[in-house]
Amino acid sequence: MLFRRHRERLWAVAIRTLGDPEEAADALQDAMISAFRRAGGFRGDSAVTTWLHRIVVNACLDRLRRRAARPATAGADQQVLEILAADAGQRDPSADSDTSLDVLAALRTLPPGQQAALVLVDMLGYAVADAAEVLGVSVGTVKSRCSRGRVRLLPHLAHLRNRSAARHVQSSQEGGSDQP
Amino acid sequence: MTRHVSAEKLARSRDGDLSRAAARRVAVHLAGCPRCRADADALAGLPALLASTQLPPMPDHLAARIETALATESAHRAAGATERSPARLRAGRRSGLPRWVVTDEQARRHARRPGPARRILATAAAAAIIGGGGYALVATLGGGSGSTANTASGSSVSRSDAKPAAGPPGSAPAARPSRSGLDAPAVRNGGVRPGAHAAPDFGPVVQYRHDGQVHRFTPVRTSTDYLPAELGQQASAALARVRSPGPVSTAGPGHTSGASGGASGGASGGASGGASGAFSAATLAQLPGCLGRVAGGQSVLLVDLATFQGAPAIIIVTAPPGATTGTQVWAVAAGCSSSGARVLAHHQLPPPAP
Repeated sequence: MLFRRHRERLWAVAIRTLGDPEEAADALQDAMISAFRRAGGFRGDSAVTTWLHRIVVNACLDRLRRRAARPATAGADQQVLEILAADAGQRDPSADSDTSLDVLAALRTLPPGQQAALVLVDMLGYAVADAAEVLGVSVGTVKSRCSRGRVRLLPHLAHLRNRSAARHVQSSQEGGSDQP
Repeated sequence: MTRHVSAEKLARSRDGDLSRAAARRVAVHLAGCPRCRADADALAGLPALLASTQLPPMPDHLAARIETALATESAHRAAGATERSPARLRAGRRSGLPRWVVTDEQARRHARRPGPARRILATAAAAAIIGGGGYALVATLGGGSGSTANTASGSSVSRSDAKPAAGPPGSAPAARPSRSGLDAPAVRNGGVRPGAHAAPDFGPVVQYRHDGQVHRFTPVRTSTDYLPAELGQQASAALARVRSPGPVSTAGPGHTSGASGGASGGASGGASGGASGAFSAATLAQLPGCLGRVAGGQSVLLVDLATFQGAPAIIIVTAPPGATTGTQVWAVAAGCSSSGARVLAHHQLPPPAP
């Protein structure tokens, strides 16, 4: 089953783009059923992988845009973050969860196109060319969306960078000594 | 000192998107301005910061929800396809009992016969009901696809490992060899109420190919009539029975050579097997495609050609290779093949108790 093979990668895209596990699952479900209807027999080649990603990303973007059109959901974002915090807390109680939540929250302030580009390229490490194919735009457009997105994120995330740098220094010190 | 550099210009500079002169001006300014240098560093660190975000993996209940939605979609599609299916299946349904189903009464008759005759007849019955009276396939994976296949019973593992029995997908073994202690569980099972605690009996090895890897299965019979509300429980029970087939575990590698002999017979073996045998050959021939579709490279722990609410069905239990969670139970209508799988029900098994 195609879904199982790509499940975690597609989930990674959806949860980062939408933030909300339930909504990410809904988007993933819509996308998979749409893919299922459009292609009777799947083949495990790279074209299908790209195609699937595109369907999932588009399903997520549709939801992002609908969300943006409903200002009422601003409050829901906080709930989303709380759910995620609880989730992340159970799994990994480290301070990284806080950072992740802050990053996601900052990401939410960007236009959908920039969010999607940054999710694929910066968060998940897709090559710009692959992201362009998934997003159905030119390489140049992906680059500029990433660039503009990063610029807009900068004021939100400068403090995080310091925090994570400090933690990094701290952990390398821990690694180098017997101190707890 | 020149004016501070905007974040946008810093980004364009990073992207190599400025004229040489403009880039030089930015560089000169950065050299003398700690504030803009900090901005530039922050910008440079953003991709790494974004990449460090940790999010929970897909929760199982959400994955199951999607799987079920897809299974339902698949069911709808296959239901549409059934309209065009061969008349044979429909004829079988109309009569209430496809001819390849061996009734409990038939099985009991065979089971009552004593001594050698009983053994021979049990073998014949086994050959006849391969098509669906209730054979289950116990999976062992071939092709080095490292997996959980060793959860299958020892006897099936040894047989499958000893020799790949079946031909390529589509030419599944049709005839069942008439030797080895495997016959004994067939007899015992025949005498017991379907779904009871009898040891399952094992059929010929079938293999299917997925993504270039060959996965192998050994049929066993559980005679279970699965019910929607009990699908998970019944599948777990069938798995348990298959994994510890009871006191009679005499099936050894000796069976393998026979099984592979049957495999070499292929379709012709099915033709010589009489009416039921012909149908079982057809069913077995469809199984590789069916498993490729439903299991798709997952470890297949069980494929039970049983019944679901009294109608012929294939119960398939799959799990992600090497995982103890994510075990899925699928009930698909008989006739499942590479071209369509009509999912009747789906259930996700809870992780095994530690």
